[in-house]
Amino acid sequence: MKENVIYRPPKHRGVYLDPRTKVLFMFVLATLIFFVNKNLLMNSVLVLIPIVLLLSNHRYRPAFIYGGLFIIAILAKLLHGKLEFPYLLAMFLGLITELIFRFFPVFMFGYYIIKSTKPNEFISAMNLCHVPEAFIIPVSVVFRFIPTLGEESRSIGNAMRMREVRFGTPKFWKNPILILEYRVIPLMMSIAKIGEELSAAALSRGLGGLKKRSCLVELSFGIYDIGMAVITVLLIIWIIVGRM
Amino acid sequence: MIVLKNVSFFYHTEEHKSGVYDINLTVPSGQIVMLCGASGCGKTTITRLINGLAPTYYQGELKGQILINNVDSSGITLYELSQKVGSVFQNPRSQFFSIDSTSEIAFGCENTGIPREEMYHRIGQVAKDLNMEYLLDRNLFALSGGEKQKIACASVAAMQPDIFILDEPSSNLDLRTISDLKEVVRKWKAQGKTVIVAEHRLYYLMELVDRIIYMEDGKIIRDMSTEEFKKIDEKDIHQMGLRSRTAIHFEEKEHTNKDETFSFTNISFSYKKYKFLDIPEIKIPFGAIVGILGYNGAGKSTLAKSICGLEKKTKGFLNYKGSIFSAKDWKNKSYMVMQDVNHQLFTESVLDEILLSMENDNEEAKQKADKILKDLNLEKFYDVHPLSLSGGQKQRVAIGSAIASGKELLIFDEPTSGLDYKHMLGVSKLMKNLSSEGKTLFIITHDPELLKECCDYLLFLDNGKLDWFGGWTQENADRVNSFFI
Repeated sequence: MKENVIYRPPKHRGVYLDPRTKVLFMFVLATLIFFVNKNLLMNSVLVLIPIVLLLSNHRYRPAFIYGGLFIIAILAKLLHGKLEFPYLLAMFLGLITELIFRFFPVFMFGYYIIKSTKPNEFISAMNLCHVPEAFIIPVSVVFRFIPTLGEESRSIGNAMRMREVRFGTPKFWKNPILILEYRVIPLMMSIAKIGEELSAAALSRGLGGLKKRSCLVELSFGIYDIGMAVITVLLIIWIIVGRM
Repeated sequence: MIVLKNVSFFYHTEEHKSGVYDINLTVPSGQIVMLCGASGCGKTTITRLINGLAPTYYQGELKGQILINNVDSSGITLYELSQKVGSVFQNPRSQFFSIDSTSEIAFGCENTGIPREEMYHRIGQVAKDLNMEYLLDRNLFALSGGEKQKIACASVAAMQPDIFILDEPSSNLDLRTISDLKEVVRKWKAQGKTVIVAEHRLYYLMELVDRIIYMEDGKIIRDMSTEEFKKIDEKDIHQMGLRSRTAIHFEEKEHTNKDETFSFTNISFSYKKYKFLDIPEIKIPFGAIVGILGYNGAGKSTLAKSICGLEKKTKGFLNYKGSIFSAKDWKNKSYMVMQDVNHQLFTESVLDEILLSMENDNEEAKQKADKILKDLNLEKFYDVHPLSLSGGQKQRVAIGSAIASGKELLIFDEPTSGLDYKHMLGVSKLMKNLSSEGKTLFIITHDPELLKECCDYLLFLDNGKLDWFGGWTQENADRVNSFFI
């Protein structure tokens, strides 16, 4: 007699956003960040969103590092004009603060997307939005390759340390550029090889044959997606009101 | 049913030289067939012809006709073929597309548009069939090679093909997981599936296989039943480049007189309050070839990395020829040849690779490099780019740079995974040469034949502790036998 065993996916715990929400909000965030010029409070809100999401996804380290940087940047901004720094240092500080205010929220949100989205979720979300396959597949491979890059790079780093090819050794000072080459070339070779084998494995399991893929993960907008939508609307209203 | 009629195939690219010629092969449904032969004999090409990757993905010239379930495979796409033929490949690291295990099992089903509810059924069924419920919803990057290979099998099985193609599936697996793989094949056999396995390791499948095909230089030389194959003399089997058909039996060996020793004391490695290594003392004779044994997670690779000074958290002392070195200086004494040697080849020519390991690159160093390359039979490749060499040659270049570094403790991580008998013997001979030159070798291996051929001491780790260490006494041989069963 054949027993029926049915797999049931585990329930989402904590904040769960639909991949479509994530991608859309990425655009919202990237656009809004240009309108917050002098409004420190609103900028803080925009920074807090990725941090809260990272925390909800148990990414404590990046969240705290970025949070710390942001607090320093705010202090730097508040102290602006009160402390005299040498010209170069002041310029450098100004640049860094602007980076932290302007670019990092988007970067952190991108990091959150990559860490919290499964490749197959992403593929089917993009399919639902009618994004062409030629765009979806390469992007989803990027998700898969980020942890691999880390793994490979660690092994290569070990091999370099064993041969004393690293920063500061006599071999390094002879030709400092080489050290970059030694790190990058084996990495590229192994990524190319893994990529080739991965493509073969994916093709032999029917990737790219059918127009309509199905997806293991059920995608639907939930309460958190509504929350994001509300936040977006509030932010936009705030900007418009602030400009008037 | 699979039929290959007068099939010849040549690759267009340089790197895969081994095509196949005049293949005539009929595999009826439900048969378990093993393809064997030395490296480069064309067995992998046969698997690619059946799953359609050649000539569609691995391009080349195909002559003859391939019928899969009475359909000419040249007339259908890879996508259609993928629903009839499922493939599991050699390298567990490079055949998964997802990040979590369940998505990976579903990957093929998603591609073929199976509805979600049906997918849940299939995943549940496959997980039960292959005994891997505990692997569902896990991060793939945290799984061992064997567990990844099981996921790969499950992913293919969830597509419910009639034919399974396995291309050297056991190359990167240890013994425990190999027996899991065997159970998977047994299950497929019971379900009446056709299974084609290209393999070096023969023993684990002997009781399941119906038919054995031996290939040489791209041709089928012998097509035998398992009974026939079992009758071939062991010597002839090795002559054919094949590994043993039965589990290796270890015996007591006379003790070689290597009495002078050096020692490691108080090796420890802790991470998050858990002790991964805790070894009060090991005395190792100079020039020993030590086989490091133990199950997955016993601390073998942690020990190897520690000896090379790659684990910063390791503490301990090495008493070597009258001096004492603390753990962070061990890297000046030791060198590891990694399992994936691609990670440790950096330069643009073989000669540069050797010179990189030396203090300076004057004439004297060049002469020394010359000699090292000659000893390794690499003199023809002085100016060749290391990454264009074959796997075995790359490994020898890595060994060459280990010798050139002048370090005396050499560690090898799985030097013979995926090698045929002849190449395994080559590695073993090289090991013995190194040992006779006064190097002390540590070999992490799951290869019983290599262990028997060249190791003269054994080090068994269990849970980060030294279980036992010693030569081939009767007691130790028995212990190794029971480990490999």
